[in-house]
Amino acid sequence: MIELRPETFTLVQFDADEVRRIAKEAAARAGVTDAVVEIDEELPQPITAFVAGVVEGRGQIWMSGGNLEDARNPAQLHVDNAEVELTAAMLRVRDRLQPGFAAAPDESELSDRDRAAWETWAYGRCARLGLAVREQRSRYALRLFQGFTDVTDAAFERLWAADELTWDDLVKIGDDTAAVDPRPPVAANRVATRQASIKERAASG
Amino acid sequence: MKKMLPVEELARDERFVRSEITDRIADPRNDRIAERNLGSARLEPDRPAALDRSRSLMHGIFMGEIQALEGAGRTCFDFDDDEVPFALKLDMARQCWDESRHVEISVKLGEHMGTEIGEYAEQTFLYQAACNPDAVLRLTGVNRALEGLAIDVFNTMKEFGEASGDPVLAACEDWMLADEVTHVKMGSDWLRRMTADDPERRERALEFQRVVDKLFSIGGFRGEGDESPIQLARRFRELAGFSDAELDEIAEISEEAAADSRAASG
Repeated sequence: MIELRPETFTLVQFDADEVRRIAKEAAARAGVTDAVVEIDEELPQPITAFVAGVVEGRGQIWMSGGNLEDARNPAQLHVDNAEVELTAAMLRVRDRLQPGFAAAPDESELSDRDRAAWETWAYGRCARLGLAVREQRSRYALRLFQGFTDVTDAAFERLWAADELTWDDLVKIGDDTAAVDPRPPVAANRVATRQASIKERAASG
Repeated sequence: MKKMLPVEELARDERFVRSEITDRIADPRNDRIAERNLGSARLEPDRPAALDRSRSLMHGIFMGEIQALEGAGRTCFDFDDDEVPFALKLDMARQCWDESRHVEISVKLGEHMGTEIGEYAEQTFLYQAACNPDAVLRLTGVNRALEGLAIDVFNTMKEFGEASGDPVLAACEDWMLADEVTHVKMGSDWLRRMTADDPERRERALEFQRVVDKLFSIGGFRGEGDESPIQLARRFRELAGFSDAELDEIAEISEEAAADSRAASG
């Protein structure tokens, strides 16, 4: 079952039935059958983030309302973006249910570097599913968190085109880009968890 | 060709959608965000949502460059030679050349960051500051307030590029920042020359600048604290001719704007 929270939106003009439909279609694309999708409608563009965990076999997606919002028309749903973002999140849930991701840390412990690689792979699969993905945005995101180097660009091509990867593959890619990342260690090996920190702050707020 | 072109008549194609700053202020989500601890608002790579915040700001810079081009261009045309010196118009024409180049650079940087033209809504308050019918007031609105803000924005973006190790972003912002310093200096010089014998007009112009500076600091957007994504670039503003007292005043105006925003959100 795909469950949407909240049941209705009050701060943004999203039609909950439409978001629910998009979430169900995204789950079907990814092969996920059981998940709860929480949309944090308090967060606008450009405060975007999502986490995609699994608890007792059930997908647990938390997503900023900004990920679904039309940046040109505040508080309005952007259907194309919603399809991409929810499908990417569902694909990451699907990954977590595979044996190859058994060793993947919880979302709250995922480094920016590893998250960026995982999201790149998810968006690449969205593109092959025919969704309106912005490839260059993903390339920039990977460069931002893995370094502006030729090794990162090569990693992007691999992630974007890959059909199957494991958690160890993603870590190896992150290690390879870190080895040539010219930034100071703090930036290059950042372990802050941006998405998770927004979510936790939301919960504590 | 029409003089004093109102903001509604600016040329834009179907890619662009405008939003009113009042709508942004009235957004019910603002109060909720104010209650939450989302950490520093500074634009830094390890801050939450750095990816889309930087892309959004880059698109805002692009729109700002278009409006700065339009503002400087209008000043070349809106005033007769007996109203403003020809040399001032020539400076504005040179500025148009710079702004055009900045628009092109900003488009390229947008592509670099994966942003489409028109992906974010356009706010037109920059151009509206450039519509004052008094040439001296317009000069302070555009060349000291707007271009001053540009110094702050470019410096913030340059530092973001440096911190994230993005050589393209850092270099481009540094080059544009150098131009903005000359634009502000131009405004400061012409303000002094055109009001040398008219202290009352100079005071009106500086008061207009204060109003515009407060508008540009709305919601704590620009300031010196952690709640401001755009940091006041004191060093580069000094190079552009701002005195320490003027910089302190802008910092104070920014703090007032942030306090107004906090009060408005309860």
